[in-house]
Amino acid sequence: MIWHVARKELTEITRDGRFLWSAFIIIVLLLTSLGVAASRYGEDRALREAATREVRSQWLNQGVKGPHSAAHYGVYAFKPSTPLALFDPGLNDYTGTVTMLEAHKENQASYKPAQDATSLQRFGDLSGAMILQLLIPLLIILLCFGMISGEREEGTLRQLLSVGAKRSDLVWGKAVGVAVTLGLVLVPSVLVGAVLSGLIVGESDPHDMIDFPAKVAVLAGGYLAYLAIFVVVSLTVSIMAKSSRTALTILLGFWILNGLLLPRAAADVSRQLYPTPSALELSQAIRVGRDRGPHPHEPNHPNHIAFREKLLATYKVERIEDLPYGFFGLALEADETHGFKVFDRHVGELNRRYAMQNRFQQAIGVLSPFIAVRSLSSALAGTDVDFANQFAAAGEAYRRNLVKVTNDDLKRNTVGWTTFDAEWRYKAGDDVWKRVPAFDFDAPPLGDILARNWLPIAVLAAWLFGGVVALLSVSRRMKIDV
Amino acid sequence: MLKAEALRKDYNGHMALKGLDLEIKPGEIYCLLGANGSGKSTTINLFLDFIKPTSGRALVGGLDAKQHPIETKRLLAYIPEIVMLYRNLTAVENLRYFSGLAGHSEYSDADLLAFLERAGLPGHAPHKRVGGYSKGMRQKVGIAIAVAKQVKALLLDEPTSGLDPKASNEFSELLVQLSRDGVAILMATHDLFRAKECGTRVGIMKHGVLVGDLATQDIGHADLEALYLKHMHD
Amino acid sequence: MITQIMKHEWRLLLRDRLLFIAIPVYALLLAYGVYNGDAWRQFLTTNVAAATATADDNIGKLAEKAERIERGEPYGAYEDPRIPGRFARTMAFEMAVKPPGPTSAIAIGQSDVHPSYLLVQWRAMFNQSNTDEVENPVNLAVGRFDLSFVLIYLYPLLIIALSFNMLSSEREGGTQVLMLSQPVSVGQFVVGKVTVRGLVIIGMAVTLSLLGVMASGAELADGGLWRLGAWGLAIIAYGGFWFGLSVLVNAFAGKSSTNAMVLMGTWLVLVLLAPAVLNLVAKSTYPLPSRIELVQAARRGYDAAKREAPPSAQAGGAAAELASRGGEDVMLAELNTAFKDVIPLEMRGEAAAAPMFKRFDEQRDRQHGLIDRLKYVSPAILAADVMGELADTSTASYRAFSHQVGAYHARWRDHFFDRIMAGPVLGAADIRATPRFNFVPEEDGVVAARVVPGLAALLGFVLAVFAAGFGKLRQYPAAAR
Repeated sequence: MIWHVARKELTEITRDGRFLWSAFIIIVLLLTSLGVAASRYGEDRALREAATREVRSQWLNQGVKGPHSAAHYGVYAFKPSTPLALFDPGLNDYTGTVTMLEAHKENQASYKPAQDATSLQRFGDLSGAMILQLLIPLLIILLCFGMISGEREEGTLRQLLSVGAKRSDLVWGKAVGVAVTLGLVLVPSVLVGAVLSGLIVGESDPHDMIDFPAKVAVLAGGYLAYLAIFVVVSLTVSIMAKSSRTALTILLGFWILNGLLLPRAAADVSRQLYPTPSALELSQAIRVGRDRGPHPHEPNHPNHIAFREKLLATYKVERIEDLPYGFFGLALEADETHGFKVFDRHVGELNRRYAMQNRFQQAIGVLSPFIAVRSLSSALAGTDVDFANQFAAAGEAYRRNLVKVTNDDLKRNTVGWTTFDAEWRYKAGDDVWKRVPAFDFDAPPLGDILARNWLPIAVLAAWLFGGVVALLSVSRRMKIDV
Repeated sequence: MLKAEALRKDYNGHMALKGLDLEIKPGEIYCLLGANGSGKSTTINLFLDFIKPTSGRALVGGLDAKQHPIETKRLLAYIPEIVMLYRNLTAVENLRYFSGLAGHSEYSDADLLAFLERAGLPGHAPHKRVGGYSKGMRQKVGIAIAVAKQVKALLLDEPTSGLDPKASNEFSELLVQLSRDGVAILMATHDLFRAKECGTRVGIMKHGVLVGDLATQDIGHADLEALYLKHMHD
Repeated sequence: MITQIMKHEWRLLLRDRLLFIAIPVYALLLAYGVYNGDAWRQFLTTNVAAATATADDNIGKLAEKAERIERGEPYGAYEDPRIPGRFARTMAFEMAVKPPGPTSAIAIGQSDVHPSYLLVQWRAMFNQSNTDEVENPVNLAVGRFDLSFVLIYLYPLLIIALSFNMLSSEREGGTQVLMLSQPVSVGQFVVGKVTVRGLVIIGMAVTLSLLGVMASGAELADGGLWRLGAWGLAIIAYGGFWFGLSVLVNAFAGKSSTNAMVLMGTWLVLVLLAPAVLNLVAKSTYPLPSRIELVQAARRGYDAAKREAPPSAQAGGAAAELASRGGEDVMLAELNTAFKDVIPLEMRGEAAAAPMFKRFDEQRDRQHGLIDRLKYVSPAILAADVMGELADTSTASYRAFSHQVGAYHARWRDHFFDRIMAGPVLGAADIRATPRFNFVPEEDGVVAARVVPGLAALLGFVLAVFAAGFGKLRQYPAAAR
């Protein structure tokens, strides 16, 4: 019975020229966006890999120089991306791409691609994710809004039920019909798009491919649930609404709230609930905090003197030349250790606020499954805040190791040297540079992503479950006449 | 007042009206009879300039409806089979709006109520929203709109179909009153009895041609039915 | 006659529940948009003032430090602000600020991804530390809930909701035949219907947002007045376009549901899809060289310059000799000499990397030029563009600022270069005389030149849809067949 109804719906939908045209346009947009993104992804990756190799060789071949000067020379880290980013670019245009890792400074990643774009950028990107998150739901609404209310207005519903069709069979038949239709449109084009972009992108760095098939599977499941929500909600509204016109109005209103109004409103409210400091305030706070450190380069600074006195007292010696470690190395180390604390306090607080903002927005997903699927999708694609934060954290950890290696070398090899000599006359070589490993960054594994995104997953599941229950209950009480 | 001169209407090869000649003088009630699709509504729509004639002219007060759509509409009123009104407005508000559009914004509320009363609307109704009106009540508001417009010609398209006999009778009496005031009335109808009762002349249409045209006083009721059926069988 | 129709339409609208829900919500959204724009403007104003104060404070402190050193207090060479190279390169800095424009509450535009101040010192601007505003990237990607969002996305939707069935509902409700049997043309009805709805929706948008922006402290004297005027015109034109489109769609005498779908589809294409597709076209036609390449080019240039002339070759000998004796005065001499080496070296490195940067800028200009030509495709893009320009929050406005900063950076270098190379230390007075950045807002004519074509095109769109709509109405089929 269900299949019988589904087949009739399928025939009807596929005979509708408007549907065929919209499906065609959506397929073209999907394939174009994937193709363009894939070729750009390939180019970016090639560039990033070459640059990473170059940076590494620059570091290793910087020749004989002071270790601290080498730490100032530093290393650049480039934010990688997983191949799923070409489907969902997420926040990639709004997070920095390059971080300079150097002595004394916890640089934030800079060069957001959005800065180089025009205002057009702010209308959003055309991507596979955008098509699945916004356009396909609209198509579902247009397919479903009149499915029951229309039959009621035409009088065919009365006829159908007089033949003895069960109401729930009728409704589920229609749902299956829509699902099969969409499947016929989407599955082949997504497969073609995936194969196409796979061919363009080619072999990827294994660091970016961690849990890749599992991530793709979860992603597919998430979108399936999201689109299914739209099918059941649209059918429920079509049964409940007085007329097709009312059903369409309600569903379009839902679509606008879901994808347009609530995401912005939620972002805005979250910003007001959990305000973040301005960049100036943050950098001032860090500067003020760092200023309390031992000022290793300024021997007459009161902090420097205090640090020196304390050190001399601890080791019970008179002169810094008598310390068991190079003083300059010790001072730099103490300065960095102090800097880490300051940085961790302020940036840690900032990241906590971001996390609270994001959590709040995810909670608003209870009203807008768009927010939920967006969070989940960008997390799986490695284009969310967590990925950017993890990259920043990995960079900072790498930087801390880099300064530790250079400072340790100073500590060990400048025992008995004056500060001036240690800074200007002591030279280290390749063996020290080699002690700093190459920077690499692993995409987070699936388990971490799921643990961080249980809320959007729960929201999607709740919407789907609630939608199915609502559809079941209204289909039992379906009105037959206008 | 209303005059059709060799009026033809061709819908993509289908001849709906094949050269109609007809004249209705002030005070006349002309009833057009005929099967569905015989060209009755087409004739009325041509006088209203809702559709354009393929050839020939539909004259209202000597003016060609096609050339002077606005001027001719000042002279005539139209009552469709089902008078649909703004359901969120009351009868008085509907009447005021349509009178205003017709150029009579001078009417006071008392005037408007008088028109509605004359059209036979029950006393409690005028200040209620028309959403809850029966067909007969809406039809009466339609008459009131026509009366208030003070027109020279009235076009009616099956105005009594679906009305109960009493309402239908009241409606006919209103038409007779209007014709006494010198209004030319063209009414398309299926109701032979009504046509004989209130019409002054009767025309029978078939496939876009006026096949019969006679004064009602010259013919008995049974003869009219016989004549009608005879034309339909040919 | 038209006033009669308008009165009638107004009464009908009043009796419709939709209006009672929609209008307060709409007013609320407009007010919230203004509030947000205003809050952002206030943030920028305080932020910019705080940034300037930081630079003032720093230079003041350095001058005081120099005075104390001149008075003979002990100091470390690294603390000495009198060394010109050290002062110009790391110790002193200017915060080049871009204060919000007179009407910036209109649209936050690109001003949330661009910094509102740039730190300027000797270092090349590209290598300068990042002064991007702190903002959750999620919020950046979603965009702000400002007035321009309400006007560009939601305002057309409300217009569509109130006008998609202005003729079709009369046709479907059966009132059309009575209406058209009156001595009034369809065109007059439509004018009446559109005027009432336009007065309500466009009128509210214009008055509420103009009042809001004026209340938020728009400086009318500083070019705020013509901006507000042009902005009002843009709102009217953009709203007019959607009304005109509704007239055109209604003129085809389709069903209400068809009208709704056609209008929503057009909204989707013009507001969501066209900008996204154009963005893709521009990005793939003129792809920007990656910032990664720029970073590497800058570094390669520096390394190459260093290989040609290693700094220690000159600085090493005499200075190291002196340095072995130790002491602050020697370190001072050492540092001062070092900068004479390092600074020209850096400059050679920058010169080597310059072509790459030039290519980046040119490519970006080409990309932006292409978008500038393509924006005429959609009134939504035009409206967003015009609003951004009028609010001084566009990319073009930021680029103008960044050119000024570039010029100022060159001035900074010119000012200090001779002193670094000649070697005499700076006095407290010299430090206080450090050249400062002074933001010059773009001339009204320049901004107007960017606004006028977009505004004109928007008005062209309005004329075109209304002309097409009323043209089509002439053949409006009155009889229901």
